[in-house]
Amino acid sequence: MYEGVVVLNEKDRELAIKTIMERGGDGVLRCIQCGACQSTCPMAFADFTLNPRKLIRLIQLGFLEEMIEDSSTWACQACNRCVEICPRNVKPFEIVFAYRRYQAMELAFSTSAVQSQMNLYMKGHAVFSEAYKETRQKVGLPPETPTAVSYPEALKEIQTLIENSPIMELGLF
Amino acid sequence: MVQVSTNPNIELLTYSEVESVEGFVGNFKVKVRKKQTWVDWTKCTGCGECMEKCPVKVPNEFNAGLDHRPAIYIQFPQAVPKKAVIDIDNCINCAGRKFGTEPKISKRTGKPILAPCERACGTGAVNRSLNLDPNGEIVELDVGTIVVATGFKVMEKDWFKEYAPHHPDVMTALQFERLLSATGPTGGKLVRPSTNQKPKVISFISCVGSRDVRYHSYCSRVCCMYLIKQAKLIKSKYPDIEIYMHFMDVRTPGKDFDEYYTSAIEMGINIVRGKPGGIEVLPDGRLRVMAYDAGLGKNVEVHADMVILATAMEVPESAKKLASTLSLTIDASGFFKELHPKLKPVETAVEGIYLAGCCQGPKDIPDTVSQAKGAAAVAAVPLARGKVVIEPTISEVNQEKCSGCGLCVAVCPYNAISLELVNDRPRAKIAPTACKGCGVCTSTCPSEAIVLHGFTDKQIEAQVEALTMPV
Repeated sequence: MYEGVVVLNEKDRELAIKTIMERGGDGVLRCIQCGACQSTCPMAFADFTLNPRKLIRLIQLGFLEEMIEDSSTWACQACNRCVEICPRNVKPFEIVFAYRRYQAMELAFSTSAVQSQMNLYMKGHAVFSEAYKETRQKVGLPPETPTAVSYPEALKEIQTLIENSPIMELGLF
Repeated sequence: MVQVSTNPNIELLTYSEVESVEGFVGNFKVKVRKKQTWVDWTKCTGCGECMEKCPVKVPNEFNAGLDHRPAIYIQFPQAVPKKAVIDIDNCINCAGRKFGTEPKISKRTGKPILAPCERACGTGAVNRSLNLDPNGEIVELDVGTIVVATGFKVMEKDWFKEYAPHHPDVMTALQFERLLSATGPTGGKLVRPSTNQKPKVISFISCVGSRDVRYHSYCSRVCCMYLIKQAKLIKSKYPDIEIYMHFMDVRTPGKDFDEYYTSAIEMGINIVRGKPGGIEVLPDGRLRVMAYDAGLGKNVEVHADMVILATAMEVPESAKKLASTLSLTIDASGFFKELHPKLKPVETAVEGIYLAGCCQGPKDIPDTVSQAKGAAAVAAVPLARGKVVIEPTISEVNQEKCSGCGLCVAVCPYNAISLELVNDRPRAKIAPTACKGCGVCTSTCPSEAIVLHGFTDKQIEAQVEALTMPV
C-alpha cells in the first residue's frame, strides 16, 4: 500500500483510466462505488485480496500500479456475477481482465503462467500432461486427444492467432 | 379527502377515467368515464355488511397483496366516498345471479333466492336484477384548466431475482408499511409472514431498481427517509430487534432530515454502506444477506428474519395512455415532462394543463404539497383573468392559399389545427391558444399556406445569410 498522504493528480488519473479503458475496461468511469460487485464476488468468500470495487477506485483516482504485484487478480474465475449485479453497467469483470492485460504487458505475472503460455503455443493446451495418454488407454480411448495436439494444422492456426496477438510483444517464445 | 368531498364547489368523480380531452385553455371539453360500480351509490352507506358475506377471496391491492378482499368491497376503511363496488371480473355470481337476471323463486318459501351481497345489503344498494351497462357512464365536462396528479406505483419485488423474491419474508417497503399499519393485515402486529413470529433481525436494502441502469437510472428520492422512518418506528417500539440498513449512499437532504438520520444511528440502528449482491435462504428459513461495507472494505453478512426492499417509484402503465389523451410529453424516465425544469416546473407544453406530485418525478410529501399548491394557483390564474397571453411566434393559415388537404391537421402535436368550411370548401384553421409555434405544419404544408410568424422563409434565409457572411 502507498505510504503517507498522496497528492492526487490528474496526470496519474488520466494514465490509469486510459490504460484500463484501452484494454477493455470501458465502464470504469460509470462506477458509483456501491459495492454490489464485491458483495457477490466468490473471490471474497475465498479470502483473496482481489476486490473489484477497490480496484476500480484505485484506477479512478490514478493508483494504477497499486495492485500490480497482487497476483489475486489472476484468481478471478470470470463467473460474471459482478457484471450481472452491477447497477451501472460497469462490467467489473472486464475491468479485472483489463487490469490483467496491463499486468501482463508489465510482465507482472507468475512464472507458472509463463509455462502455460508456452504450452498453449507448443501444444495448443494451456494445461497439458503426458500422463493423460496412459489414462486414456486404460479406458480404451486412443492415446492422443482429438484436439490441436493431434492435428498439426489446427495447432498451426492457434500459433498464428497467438503470433498476431499482443502477447508476442512479451517475447516469451 | 373528506373536506374535498364535502366542499360544495368541488365535484369529486372517483372510480372514473378520462376518456378524451378536446379544445384548449379556457375551453377544454373533457369526457370522463364513470366506471360501473354495480352498486347504487345513492343508497350505499358504506356499512361493509356485504364484504362480510361475499365468499370470494382475491389479493387485496390496498394491502399490497398481503391479505385478501372479497369481490364486493370498499377499497380501504378511510376511502372517500366510503362506498362499495363489485369487482365484476372476480364475482362468481352466487345463486346464479348474473347482473340483469331475475332471481329464481324458491319452491319451498315462494320467495326469490338472492345472492349473499343482496341479502346482506340493508338499503337495497345491491340489486342484481338491474340491467346495468358494464361500460359505465360517460360524463362531459367543460373545464378551463386541468391539473394532472396521477401519482406513482412502486416496482414489484419479483423483478429482483437476486433478492429471493419468492420468500414471504422478503417484502417491498410498501408491503412492510401495510404490515406496520394499524389497519393492515395483522392490525399493526409486527410478525414474519412465514412463521407469524416476531422477527429478531431485520435488514433494509435501499436503491432496489433505482439508480440502476437495468431498471431506472433516477434516484427515487424518498426511499432513504422512509426506510429510516420504518427502522426508527420498529427500534423505538422493540429495542431488542437488530436492524441493519444497506445503503449505496444515504441521501437525506432537506430541513431536519439529516438530523433524523443521525438520530437513527444513535438509537442503535446499523448503517452498512454498500449494495448487497444477493440473498440466500438458509436451511432454517432465515435470509442470508450478502453485503459489503465500504468503510471496512470488507464483505459482511447479515442473517436476517426479514428483508425490506426499497423498490423504485415508477410511472404506472396507464399514465402513458393518459399522456396521449392529453397530448402531454413524457421524459426519458417515463414521467410527465414539465415545460421548464427550473422556471416552469408545474406547467406543461399544453397551455392550461399543469402537473402536481409524482407524475412529474419522484418526490416526497412536502415537495408534493408545495407543487400541488403551486399548480392550483397557476391553474386559477387564467380562470380568474378570463384571458391568456399567448406567444407571438405562432403559425397562421393563409386560407386563400390553403387547398384543404388536411396534412397539417394530422401532424400537429398539440391538436391545434382543424378544418372549417369556407365558401363550402375545407380550409385549415389554427387555434392561436393551442399553437406552440413548433413549425411542423409550416414545413408540411404543400401549398406554403402556413406562416410561422417570426420564422418565414425570408427571415430564415436572412439569418442564414448573416451567419454565413465572411468575417
